[in-house]
Amino acid sequence: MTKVLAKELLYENIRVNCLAPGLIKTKFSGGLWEGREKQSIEDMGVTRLGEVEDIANGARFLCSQESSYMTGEALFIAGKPSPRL
Amino acid sequence: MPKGEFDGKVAVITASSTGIGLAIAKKLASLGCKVVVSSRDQAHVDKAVKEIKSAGGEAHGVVCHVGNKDQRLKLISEAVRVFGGIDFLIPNAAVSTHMGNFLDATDVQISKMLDINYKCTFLLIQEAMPELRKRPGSTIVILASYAACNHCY
Repeated sequence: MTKVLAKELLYENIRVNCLAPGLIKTKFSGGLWEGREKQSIEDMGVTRLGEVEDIANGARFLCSQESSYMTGEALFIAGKPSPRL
Repeated sequence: MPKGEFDGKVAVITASSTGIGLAIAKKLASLGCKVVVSSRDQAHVDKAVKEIKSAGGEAHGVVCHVGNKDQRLKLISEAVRVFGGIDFLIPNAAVSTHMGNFLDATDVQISKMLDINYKCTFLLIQEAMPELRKRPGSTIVILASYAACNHCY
């Protein structure tokens, strides 16, 4: 969806990007990590679980003119390499 | 990072009374953005708005279940009424209907996931387009997930 919309809106100067968080410590994902944080870190193959600030920083970048030459992209913020180039 | 570039900009973020959505709202508000916070629960929305305002930010709260068209339209119209328009649309609301092996998901779970996470995200963007088109350099930031291409444990 991100890529198609980014293409359609390119010449209207509206950028469309997406954030792809990994396992972030929130209530929403609690079922996956609460009470088993160490195991979760090991299972995910990361050095720590994500914090909401990690994702907020990504959102700031994508809203900012700092990313003005970027559209149709997914920013993986997951504490490990994403499975794509 | 120039603080000035966010001054006066308006961000609309769904499911922003807790978690990632709230963190994004707080971050943008701290940089001078006016943020429209929303979630399904009025009390949660009020709490989030209070928190942002206590920290010196500008925020307005709207109850919005993204699966409800009237509420989506109200979210957009409130952003326009209170703050004058929309610069950043951040569809963050999502459901997680199934944990475990993907192949074990049920028809109902898949339907709900696609309905809320994909269809309603699309509809919100479509419905907000007239407002986004009025603002030069407006931007959409969709919240997806690492789970789109790999397991989260």
